Amino acid sequence: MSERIQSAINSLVEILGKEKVRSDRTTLISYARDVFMPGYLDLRRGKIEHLPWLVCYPENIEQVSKIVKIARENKIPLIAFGGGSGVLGGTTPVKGGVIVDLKRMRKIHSINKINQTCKVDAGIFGEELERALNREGFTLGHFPSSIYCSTLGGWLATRSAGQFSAKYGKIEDVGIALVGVLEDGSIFHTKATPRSATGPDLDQVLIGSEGTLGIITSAILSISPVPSIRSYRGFSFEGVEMGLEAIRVLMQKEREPALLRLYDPMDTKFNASKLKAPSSGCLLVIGYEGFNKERTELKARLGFEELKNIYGKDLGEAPGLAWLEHRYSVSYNQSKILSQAGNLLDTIEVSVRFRDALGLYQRIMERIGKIGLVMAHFSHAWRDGVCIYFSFLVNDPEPEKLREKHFQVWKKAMSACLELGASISHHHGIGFYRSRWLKQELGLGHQILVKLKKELDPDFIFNPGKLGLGED
Amino acid sequence: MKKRLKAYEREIEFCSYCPKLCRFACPVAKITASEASTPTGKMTIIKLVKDGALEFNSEVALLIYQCSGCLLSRTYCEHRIEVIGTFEAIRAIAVEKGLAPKRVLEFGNAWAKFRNPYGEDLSSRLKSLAQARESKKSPVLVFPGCTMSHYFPDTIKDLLLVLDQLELNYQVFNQEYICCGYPLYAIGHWKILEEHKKWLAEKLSGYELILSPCPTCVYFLKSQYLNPGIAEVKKIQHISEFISENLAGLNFQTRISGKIVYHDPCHLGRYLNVYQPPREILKAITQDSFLEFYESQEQAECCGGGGGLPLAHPQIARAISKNKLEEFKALGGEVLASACPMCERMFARTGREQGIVVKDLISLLAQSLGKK
Repeated sequence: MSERIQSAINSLVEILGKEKVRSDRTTLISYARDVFMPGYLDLRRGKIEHLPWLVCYPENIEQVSKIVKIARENKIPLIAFGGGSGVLGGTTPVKGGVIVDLKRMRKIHSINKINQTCKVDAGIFGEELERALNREGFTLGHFPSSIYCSTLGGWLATRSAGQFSAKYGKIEDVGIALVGVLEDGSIFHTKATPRSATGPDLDQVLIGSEGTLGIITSAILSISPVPSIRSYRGFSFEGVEMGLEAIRVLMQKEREPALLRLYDPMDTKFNASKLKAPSSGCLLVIGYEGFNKERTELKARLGFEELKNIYGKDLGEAPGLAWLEHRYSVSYNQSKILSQAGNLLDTIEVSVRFRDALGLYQRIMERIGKIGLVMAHFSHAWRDGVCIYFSFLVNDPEPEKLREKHFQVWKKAMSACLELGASISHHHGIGFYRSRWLKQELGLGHQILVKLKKELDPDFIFNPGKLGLGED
Repeated sequence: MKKRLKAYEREIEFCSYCPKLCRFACPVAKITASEASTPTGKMTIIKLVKDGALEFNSEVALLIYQCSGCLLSRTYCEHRIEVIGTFEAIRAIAVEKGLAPKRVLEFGNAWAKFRNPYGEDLSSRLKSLAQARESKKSPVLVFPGCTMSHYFPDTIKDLLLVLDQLELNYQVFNQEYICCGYPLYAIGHWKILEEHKKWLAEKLSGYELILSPCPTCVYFLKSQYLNPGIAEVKKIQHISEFISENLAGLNFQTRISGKIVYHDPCHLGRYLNVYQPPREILKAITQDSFLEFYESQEQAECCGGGGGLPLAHPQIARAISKNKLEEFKALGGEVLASACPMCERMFARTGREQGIVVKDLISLLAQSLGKK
């Protein structure tokens, strides 16, 4: 270990105390991977790569500030870490460095019932936050399937989305203001105002920056009353095309639900028994919720009628309620599949406008289908388009061939997005794995990002190797 | 190692490949904030050891003792995996190889003289209670357990008062050693346990019903002694189960008032699936006015006292109970009621300075029956 690193460790121990600076091997191994799927191939082979140099656990923003100053003085990479549930290697210490685990900072500072906002530390787990808000009669309305294992900081870092995004938006829509630390150790607070016209929105520069521009330590978030009225249904459509048209109509004719998911034929077949739906056609699960009974019921009635008008077969509420019961179940499949040698599964979520949605879906299905098993659902509907969420499984007894097949799937999906002007990511972010396609995605925008990085983090200490920044 | 862990293959593989879905609930990981402490983190380290990619050393062993065995992770696992079984098996190997933490290794010697974790002749505490009932030959045995006898002998008296009002013919366990052996099992002293199990099985044989105020004893006697089986024992119950079935036979004198908050002990709840009996008793004595913690029953959070955690990682154990007491205060609780001596000990110790009142529900029941 170089003198520079040792000196940094000594300074960190001085600030945080020995217990909050860990360099034992079991700890380091536990931070070498997140949920990036090919990382499990290494686990399967007992290969341990990308160990950080040490892990520290600050308890307040002042300590984070001091850590950043030490890292800057010693030019040591810093990787902010929440739940480590990202799937693109966003927290993998590809250049080594110090992990700043923020989970000792998970306080709910305030819940303001007048403004309907809360101020919360970044290290809190989603489920912890949601339960605490529910006790006060509120919800964040943010329900990613990773809610049990992902933190607010991770959500903000990657622009995450929850299952009820059609009503509550993505995390960038509920994040009102941020508190964090910049590269010189200074502590910033953006202003919590309803809207402003004071130059570019700095919150939106930092949200989604994946820890490359600074460390977000807390946020002020918009919250909503817990819904008292809920109405869920299942509908069946003949094919993806009609289902997509149904989503478009709902989103553009003031019939937006909270929950809207269209499963393609393969995904429908896969989920049919669990969701109490026919195994043929395309299942659409829809849910309306709110605290105003009349408004919610009216919207639901109009929405359901509209779906019937466009040849949707009403399956009643059973599929909707079954979906609600199993809403987080999908993540449990990972263990079953990955524990079988030769298997590798992964998901790719992309964002596309309605005009190109069917074309992109077909193109990716065709390309990936030649390599492995693939299915998709359309979730996170917006006025102008949808997220397509592909799940795929590749198989090969040879680990390197399996890794290559996995890469080929990604390459084909990403190139299809770029060809059709779709976005290569809807809510999982970039990490290190998607970085190779980001320059093409952003075009000149990536140069702006690089300039911003050089200004805000000239020594490239913040999470190097992510968002296509600091790879060299 | 691989051979010894064969029985836990499914658990190790499933947990290692899981995206840590139970982690937010793990009481230990909440305190340490470390990825290594999560159930997935520990299982991944075990997988690497099992596969020969990582050396099994004292650092690994120390990590594996970071678990209170609360089973809360099972609540959030759709595969219903219980990680503690794997940890206990690894701990047994750690003890054999001398890799377990020093306090764990020394425990074997401390236990030897009086065969309990407290280094004290606990049988003398029970002698007078037991002798008073020895003339009544009965197929019912009250097994108080070592923790209740050591910390809360008055609760045992309360228990006998209740049973006497029910006119139950019973005996109190009156032998030189009164521990069920769970502490040995939890921390990996399996070899010492074998001899004790043989001795205890012999002493328990001949009874038809065993009642205990300690859920850990009930769980352990059921899981380790009923199969292949102590001669003639048909039933082992926690005292709350027995009393809730016989509430009609009690003559209540006083309603217990104040804000009572009930804590579900892990061994009573998730291990034995006993949730309602303590609530039935509390309903009867408070006229249905007791409170629940935010998370209760299968989701109830742990006190930090199980699985040998207070021995191997006392600071983590205390921090867990402190967290729960914060919630107790936020609820405006005045009495923390439970049904497990270890939970009560953890809360009483952690809450001592803040004057937190902790009571076993049997003592509250005795009070309600007019105990002076």
